[in-house]
Amino acid sequence: MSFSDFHGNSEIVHTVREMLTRHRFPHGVILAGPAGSGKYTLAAMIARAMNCLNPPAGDGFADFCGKCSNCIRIGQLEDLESRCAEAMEARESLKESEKKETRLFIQTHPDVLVIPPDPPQMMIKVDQVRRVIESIYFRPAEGRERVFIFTDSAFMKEAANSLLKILEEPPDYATIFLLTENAGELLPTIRSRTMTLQLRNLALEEIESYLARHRPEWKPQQRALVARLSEGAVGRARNFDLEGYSAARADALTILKTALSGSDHTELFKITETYRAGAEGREKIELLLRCLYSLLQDLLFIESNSAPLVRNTDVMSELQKLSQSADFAWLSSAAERLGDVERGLRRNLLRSLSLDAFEAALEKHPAGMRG
Amino acid sequence: MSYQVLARKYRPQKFSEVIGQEHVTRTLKNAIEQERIAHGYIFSGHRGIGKTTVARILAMALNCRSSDKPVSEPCGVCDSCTEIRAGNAVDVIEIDAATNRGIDEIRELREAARYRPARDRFKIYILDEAHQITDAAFNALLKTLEEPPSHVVFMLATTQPEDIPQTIRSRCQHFSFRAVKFEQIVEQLRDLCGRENIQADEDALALLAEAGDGSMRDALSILDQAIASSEGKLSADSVRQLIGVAPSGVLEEIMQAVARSSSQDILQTVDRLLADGQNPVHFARQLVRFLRNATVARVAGTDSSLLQISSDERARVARVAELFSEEDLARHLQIMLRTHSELGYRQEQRFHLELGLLKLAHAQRLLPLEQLLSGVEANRGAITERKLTLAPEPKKSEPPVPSRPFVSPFAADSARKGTPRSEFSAENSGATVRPSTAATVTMPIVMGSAAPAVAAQPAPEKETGPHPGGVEQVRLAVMNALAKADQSILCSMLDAGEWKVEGSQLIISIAASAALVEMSVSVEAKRLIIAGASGAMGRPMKLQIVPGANPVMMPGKSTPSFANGSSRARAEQEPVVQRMKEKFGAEIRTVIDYRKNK
Repeated sequence: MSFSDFHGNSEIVHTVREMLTRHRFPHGVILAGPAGSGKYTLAAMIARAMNCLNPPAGDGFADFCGKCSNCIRIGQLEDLESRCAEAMEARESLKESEKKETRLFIQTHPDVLVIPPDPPQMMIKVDQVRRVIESIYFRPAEGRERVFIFTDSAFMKEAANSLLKILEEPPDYATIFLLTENAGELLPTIRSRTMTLQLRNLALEEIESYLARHRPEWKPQQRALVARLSEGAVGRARNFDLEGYSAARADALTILKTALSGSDHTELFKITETYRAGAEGREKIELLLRCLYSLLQDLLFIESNSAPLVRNTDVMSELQKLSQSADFAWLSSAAERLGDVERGLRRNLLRSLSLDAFEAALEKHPAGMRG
Repeated sequence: MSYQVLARKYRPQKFSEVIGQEHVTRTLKNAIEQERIAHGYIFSGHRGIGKTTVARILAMALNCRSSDKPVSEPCGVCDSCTEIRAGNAVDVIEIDAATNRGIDEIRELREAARYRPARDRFKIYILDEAHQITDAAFNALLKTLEEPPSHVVFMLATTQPEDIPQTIRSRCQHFSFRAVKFEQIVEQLRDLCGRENIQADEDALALLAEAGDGSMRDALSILDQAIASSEGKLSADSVRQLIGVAPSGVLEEIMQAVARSSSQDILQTVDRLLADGQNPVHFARQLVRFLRNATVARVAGTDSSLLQISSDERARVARVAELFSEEDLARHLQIMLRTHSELGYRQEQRFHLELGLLKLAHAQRLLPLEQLLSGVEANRGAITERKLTLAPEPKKSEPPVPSRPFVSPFAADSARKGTPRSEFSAENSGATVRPSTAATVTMPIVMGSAAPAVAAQPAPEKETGPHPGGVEQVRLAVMNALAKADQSILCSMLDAGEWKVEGSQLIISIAASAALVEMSVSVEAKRLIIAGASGAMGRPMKLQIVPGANPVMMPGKSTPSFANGSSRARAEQEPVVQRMKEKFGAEIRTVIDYRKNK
């Protein structure tokens, strides 16, 4: 295990290692990048490199061995989801009164603290930040550097403000990581106190080669398609659920088709009805919305003579057909309506109905009403 | 690791080292020299321009031991100064107000404030991020802040002074800090690079300063990053790559593609950018800023001081500004602003960015709204003209007004006004602008509904076609009614207008402005007109007065060319009347035409 296992973004990794080697690593860092681009993985790697007991000489830049006790314990952080679930379970077993006051933290090594967003609101709360402020002045116990990783940029307002002073002048032996998909979501006052490292999307070929190594059981076409659909994020590509996606996309296609031809609704209603169901319906409809967006985007590409950019290449012929009746005005109003559906979801509107309404609003009438 | 970021390492320790805040430092220095030290200060302003720094320097100056009274510039070497700098002075208490924001913490502070300082002259409380203090806590502080013990000084530093209650603000001296000027940031960066032994070319410094956006610390944070990732030498390219700024050449490319309205090029450029790791939101923001600069360059000229950018960028902005008209730029800016704010809460950012950019391209294909409107106006003019010529006798000889071209007020105005309607640009269906828009622009004032007496019950619309024969009758009846009621001014005003009966509506288009109409047509007059019209037509009528219809016709001023057929003009040409005018200075108040009644 070493930095070479980090896939893609080699320049950023190189910068990081250089800064570590020259002891110029800043105390506050924003790691920004799309979902699945490896922000958390990289932060955990840096934490290891900072605390590794016998760093390999390697190529002359800072690295970590992955075998020493510090590396192993910090490495246990990698599976964030199951750690979070574990912590949640632990909290559930507490007494009601304590439950309310207990916040989520993940710590597998005394000097590395991970602060995930606190369920159920999934925000980082002021109590969590307070805890960080209290503990940040303790000297490192077993490593050289205390590391704090905030895994999400969804801060409660007070929480973000509480972080300001500590970010401005943290002790010499502490480093704070803020992970975010979009650095703009953080307060400008936070951004001004930190260094932003931006992870980028990977190129198609990079992801394909990655998949070839890690998912050899997939067919090459499948890999190519996933590489396109995962939009350059390694994490997303590795765990891509192609079957689920295809099913959702088939539904999305039906919705668009019905909207554009405006004839027979039986199939549509059959589909939207399946989105009514409770808890798992939410995930399902989110996937459907993503598919709808992605199809609309492809239609937009075709409409603008940029067919090579289309991502859902396996349904190209159907897209071509659809694009004949979808003009730009229609597409942009479709995007707007889709935004309404999204908003409706947040307010718990009936899913099947809002999908029907979405379709109905976009229906093209033969007379050619305004799109 | 004893490495400190530049912003901390070079935090100013003297008033004279603080950059771009002379108005604050000068005032504070003078205040100290005159020994007029307030007990409460508020420092407000953007991030990273020196609020906390000034608070600390002020604390040093007040407690400096180099003299037996406060000094205008701290010595920086005495115990007090060094302790304050290290952050462990006993009598200077710096509080993170964002974390200690509750009433309990403030109560504690109030208690402690009563005791005299341990060693130094003043006990100084620096409340940083003061906007986060809760309302209750602020209120608890009020009494203490109004009349604190003479040894206490409060300093509140905040980025959001509006979140501090008025009652607190009125008890403190408020200093608001300015954004640091572009040149000053460049100057400072150059100085620091020299001290850190780092070579940096001018463009790189300019880029850093630009990214700082008026904040010294932002610029320094990025400089830090740049130094860390380079080998002692900064070039513009490496800096650009580092801050993830899309090279502004790309922005120009995009705008050129927009000017050509080539969707394909736009999408390909975006694809390339995003593959390079650009963030859609970031990029949208950059484009907004670029368009803003282009708009400014277009309006105020390329070398306006409103453009705080490097010379390279200036040339680029100027080139783009050349491509578009002022309205176009403003419209594009508006579209981009909307796109940018939408990106903030939308899921599929890339899609929305692309959509937004394509909207620009499509907006480019639109006709300017003004042009379109003036077209509609002209059409309308043509229609009324045709109606006039088709109209029955009394109107026949009335010369239409084409001698003066029918210019829409918008067309005349379009040269200056650069604010197109957002609905149009956003909808992107400008080609389908409905003529009704033009109609709403002339603001017809529908009065039928306002007159309760007659028009309250809806007209039984038996016959809705135009009633050409009825128009003169109606006019006569109305004029009579008005004349009887001594409404002569209104009489002449309306007489000069163009009358039309459409269904159960009497439409009078007159030259006077909407305001004038509103003033001169009272409720009473309305009732009279409606009653007269209804009487003449034999059914309830509604009244609509369209103001500002015909700029040539001036009420009251009787030009001979005007309305030859009208009874008033005839009366004026009557020799007897003319003599009366000549001899007695008579004026025509009403003309009653008996020809039609016979």
